[in-house]
Amino acid sequence: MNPDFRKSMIWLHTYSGLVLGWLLFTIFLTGSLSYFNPEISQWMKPELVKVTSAQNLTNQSLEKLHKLAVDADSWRIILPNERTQHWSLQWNYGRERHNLSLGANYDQVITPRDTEGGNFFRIFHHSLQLRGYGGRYIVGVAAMVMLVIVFSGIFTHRRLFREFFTLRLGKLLKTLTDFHALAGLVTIPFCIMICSSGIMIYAIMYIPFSADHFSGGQRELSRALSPGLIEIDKNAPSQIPLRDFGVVQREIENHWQGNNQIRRITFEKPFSQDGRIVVDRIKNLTISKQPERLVFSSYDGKPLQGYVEASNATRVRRVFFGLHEAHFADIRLRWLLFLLGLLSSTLIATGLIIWLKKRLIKIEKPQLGYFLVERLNIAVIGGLPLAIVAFFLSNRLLPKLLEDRATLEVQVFFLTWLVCLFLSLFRPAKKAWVELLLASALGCYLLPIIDLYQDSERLKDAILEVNSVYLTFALFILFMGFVFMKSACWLRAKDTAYEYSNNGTKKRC
Amino acid sequence: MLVSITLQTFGLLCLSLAMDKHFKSAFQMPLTKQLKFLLKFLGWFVTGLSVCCLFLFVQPVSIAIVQWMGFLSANILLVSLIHCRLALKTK
Repeated sequence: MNPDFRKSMIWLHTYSGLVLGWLLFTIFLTGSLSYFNPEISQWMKPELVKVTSAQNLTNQSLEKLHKLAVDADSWRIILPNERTQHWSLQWNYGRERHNLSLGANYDQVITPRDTEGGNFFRIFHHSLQLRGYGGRYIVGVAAMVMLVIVFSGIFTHRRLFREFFTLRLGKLLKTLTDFHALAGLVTIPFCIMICSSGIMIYAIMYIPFSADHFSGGQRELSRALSPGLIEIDKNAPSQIPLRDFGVVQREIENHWQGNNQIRRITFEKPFSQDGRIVVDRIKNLTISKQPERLVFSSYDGKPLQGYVEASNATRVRRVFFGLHEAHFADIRLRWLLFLLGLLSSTLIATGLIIWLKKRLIKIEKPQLGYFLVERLNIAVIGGLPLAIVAFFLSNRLLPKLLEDRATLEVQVFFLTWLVCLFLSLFRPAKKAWVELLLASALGCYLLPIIDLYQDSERLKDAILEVNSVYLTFALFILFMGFVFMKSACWLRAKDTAYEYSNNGTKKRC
Repeated sequence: MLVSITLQTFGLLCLSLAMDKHFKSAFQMPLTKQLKFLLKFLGWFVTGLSVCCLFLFVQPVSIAIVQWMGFLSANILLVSLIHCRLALKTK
């Protein structure tokens, strides 16, 4: 290989990784959590009870909607599935949206606490809470740079393939370098898939001039590529929507074999003669983001003409979208993808730590750049997990009826992260690492205890109903507490790390 | 799927043992040329077989490919940890 080429690749890998490392770590960690979006939401709304999908849930939902949502513009029935176990109804009057969560019994209306749930991580992952302020563009650029980092990394680590399957334990720097190379190798397919699919999701946004040229705008291009159903005539005579879903159910069974194939039922203009029912199939049968859909008349249940076939470009984009969100994944694959996401985050974190450690060993005089990298490493790698734990804690500790509760939870997340940044700036590095890790561990241990203290029935019910979502969350959070505590103890016992003291001199600690 | 994943793990283990360093730390003896060829052949053959199993028995294939790739990453990590453990024992 041309030595100049390799040098260029090393430079590219090092500095693109350094500049965007913290952002990439944040995106990857929150993205990994997003694999369990419905499960996290379920845990954050403990008022929701387990509902098993059954045939008569649809008719019971229709009965309820006939009572509560007369003359609504749309109805939606979201049926429970393996992941959410949440039965909910929605209806709209223009832009005014109503939600109703139902319990195991038809008459049991549940009012879950106001929270963003797991959706916060999903939104933060793809827009950094900066939707409308360029957040999605920043994330898109980060994904493109990550691809550059992955490919340049293959050329940077000279013995990447010669030292395949190698992880040497011993000196910290050597172990970290080996782990970085190994994690990089293991996550190459995952990182390429996740970054390219992430870019594809907002491809139209990233090529605005082409969108303008071909269709006159981004929305127009989206519409042209995946046309929807024809618009319903607003002046059509009114008609009472069907009460018995059996007619539609029989038709659906002819198309989709197997039990519990319906994920969502949407009534568009239910009180119009031209109204229609759109039935969405469950997502775990296709890799595409868009599962199969069937369309029926809303008052007699007769099949109507469905969606026209999407263009090839749209189908490819939907496959990338589906791959990114992995709705098709069963629980085993979901955990695997989640762990690969965590491994990718660790890959980025080790890269940042290696960069700093290699330079701290060599230099004598303190430099502002290294100081900043060190403190940002602490604030992001150590601080983000603590902010996440604080977000979960706020979900349990904030009063249920507090106004704007969901926003407050998000504010707790950001405030905790800000505190971590200040702590990293004003505390000696090693102490700051240890303190943040210990605080995260403490938070993880406190979560199940608080949960038990607030309502001991919760755990009992979860065990009796085999509520795997609740139990797995509790066990995982305890495991993470153990990991944080072990890391803090290991770091405290270690005495070879270099750091800058607050007066700017370098010292061993 | 289980058969495919097991074959994949075995294939990767063979391929890792076809490397001088890992073979030596596992068996405390040098790797001969014949054995290296045999392990390499067996490793690639079994890994290929795991892909065939996947296409023959797992449906839908698109999801199965994602699963296979996911488990490939996990298995590389697993085999590396096994060798790390073996190297520690040898020390």
